[in-house]
Amino acid sequence: MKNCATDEYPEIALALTRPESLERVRDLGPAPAVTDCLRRLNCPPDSIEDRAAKWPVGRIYLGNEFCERLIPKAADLQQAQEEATGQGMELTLVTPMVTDFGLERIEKLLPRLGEGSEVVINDWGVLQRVRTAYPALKPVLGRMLNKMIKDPRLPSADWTRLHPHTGRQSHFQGLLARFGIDHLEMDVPPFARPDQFEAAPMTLSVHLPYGYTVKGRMCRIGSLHQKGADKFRAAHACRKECLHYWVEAKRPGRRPDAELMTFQRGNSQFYRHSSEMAAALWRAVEQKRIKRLIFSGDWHENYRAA
Amino acid sequence: MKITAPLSRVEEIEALAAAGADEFYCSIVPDDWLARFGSSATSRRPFGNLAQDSDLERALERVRALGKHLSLVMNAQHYTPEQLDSLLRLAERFTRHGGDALIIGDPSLLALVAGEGFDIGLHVSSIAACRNRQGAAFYRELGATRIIFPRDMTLAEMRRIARSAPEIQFEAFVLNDGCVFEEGVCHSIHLPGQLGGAICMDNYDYTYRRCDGAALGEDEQMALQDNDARYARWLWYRFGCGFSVTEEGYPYGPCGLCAMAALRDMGMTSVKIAGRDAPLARKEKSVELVRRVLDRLGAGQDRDEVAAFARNLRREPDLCRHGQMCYYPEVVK
Repeated sequence: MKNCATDEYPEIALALTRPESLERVRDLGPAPAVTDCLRRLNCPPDSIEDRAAKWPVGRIYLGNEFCERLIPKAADLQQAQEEATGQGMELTLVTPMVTDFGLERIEKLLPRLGEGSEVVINDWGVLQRVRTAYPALKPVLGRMLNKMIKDPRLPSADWTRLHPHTGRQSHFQGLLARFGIDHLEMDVPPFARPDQFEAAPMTLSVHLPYGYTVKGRMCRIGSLHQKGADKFRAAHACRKECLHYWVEAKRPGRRPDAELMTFQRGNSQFYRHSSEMAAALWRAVEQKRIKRLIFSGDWHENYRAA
Repeated sequence: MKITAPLSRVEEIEALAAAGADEFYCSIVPDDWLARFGSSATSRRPFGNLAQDSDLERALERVRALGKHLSLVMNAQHYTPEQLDSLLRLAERFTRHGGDALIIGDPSLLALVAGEGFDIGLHVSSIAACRNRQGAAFYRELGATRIIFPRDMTLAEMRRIARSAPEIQFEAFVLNDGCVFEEGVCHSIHLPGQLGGAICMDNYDYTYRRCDGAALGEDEQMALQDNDARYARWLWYRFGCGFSVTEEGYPYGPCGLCAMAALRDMGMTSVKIAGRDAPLARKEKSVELVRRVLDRLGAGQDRDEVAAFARNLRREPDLCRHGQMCYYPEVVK
């Protein structure tokens, strides 16, 4: 099987926050099947339809969208590039919203990316830097900048209809074109419909099997080992507790079957797609609206650190 | 350095000006907006907006008569094309009537308004989450004349950005209304209370788990419980100490009064008081608090003395000492 999108299926990407996660799939050989990769990473396999089980992973997403402390080091990027190339896969660098501190860390990585390499942008400042200093790189708009309502508590679709997502909006697409972006990412929103995955003429990638609702700068779990007033403040230190703990969040008194499974990891809150949401996504895949599926490889509630 | 105060009714202008406000910001849901779009999404909030279109003209007249400035808020994170067209017309009307600036959160709207060449200031809302120098350059390229920094930035971070872009103005939060998450990338809705309210204040039960699948140790559980208890306390401070006030009516909650010397020294054009939907008394007392500190700085008082004065204004210095009520706790440290 070829690695990239074909008429039969979209391109499959595996998102990894931890560079060492690549080691878990190394022995699967070139273009490993997506279910094999997810099994190695303990990602629940029910997010994949049977017909997609053998689709090959063609791309690694390296980095984290939610925290600048998780931006990979240059050595990690190089190792991931070598691993990906060795397995016949492309590599995309994922970047979060950043301060100038984070931007400096990203700046160390950008010169190491080859011409045409993708950089996922979740901060307009990162886009500004990429397009002015590294025009040979290809910016992809991240899901944080593709605005939509993704509140897992919504009781009905009526709440989301008032706020259609930005990615389909002509003025926003014009803005992206002005800044050299023709590819964007999105989450599957609660109450998703297949037509909501229409982003033409933009190329669309979709994350699964989780959506993110909100991220903070302050990090609750990241404050665990901080003392007194050093907790819960801007730019507080941390021990990357997000790599060691996750938190299930339930609302007492609410019907469990009416709520999306919700969890926090690090500074952000996520929801797991319902079967209805997944069905809408897979229908949109059939309809060829989606160019790429991005599977959460090691940033989920079942990942087992080595 | 100016004081920028929130407005929700035209009648508040004189009182807030008398308390010491230099600039005002307000929002409005145009008369036909609700019928057309079924939401009040011009500025993210159903409450705290001026009541009708004509209020905007009246507000501008009163503000002009006092020699002050008025900005109009359009700071939803995103709009539909039809909403953008409607906002463009509103921006044109506001400009024609002598409005001073638009506060914009959606880069599409910023680009659209800038493209019209209106003679009006374009302020990037805190919602736009400009957190680095390149971000400031991006918004400058789109036409911004001022950037309102988001919450949860350090003074050093803001200073660095301000120095990098001396051609534009900057504004920073100084009082009221904390937000737990990054509001610029919050994709939730502040639901009605019976549905859970704001997601950051919803009544979640949290169950911690280790990523390696092992059970939590006793020490771990205790540390996590302690962290959660401190987090609950921090939330209380973050939300205005239960939205309470001192005997004199001064609000508790997020505060940067003792950092005002630092903000002034980095060239901040204005400090922002949050809370459009607060009652007038709270707004007045908020402006008064900031004015009392700013006047002392303006009179050339020693900055440490002014900071000490600021920390004693509520007569409860312990609230300041631990820094959890602070926008800029590094000053306390």
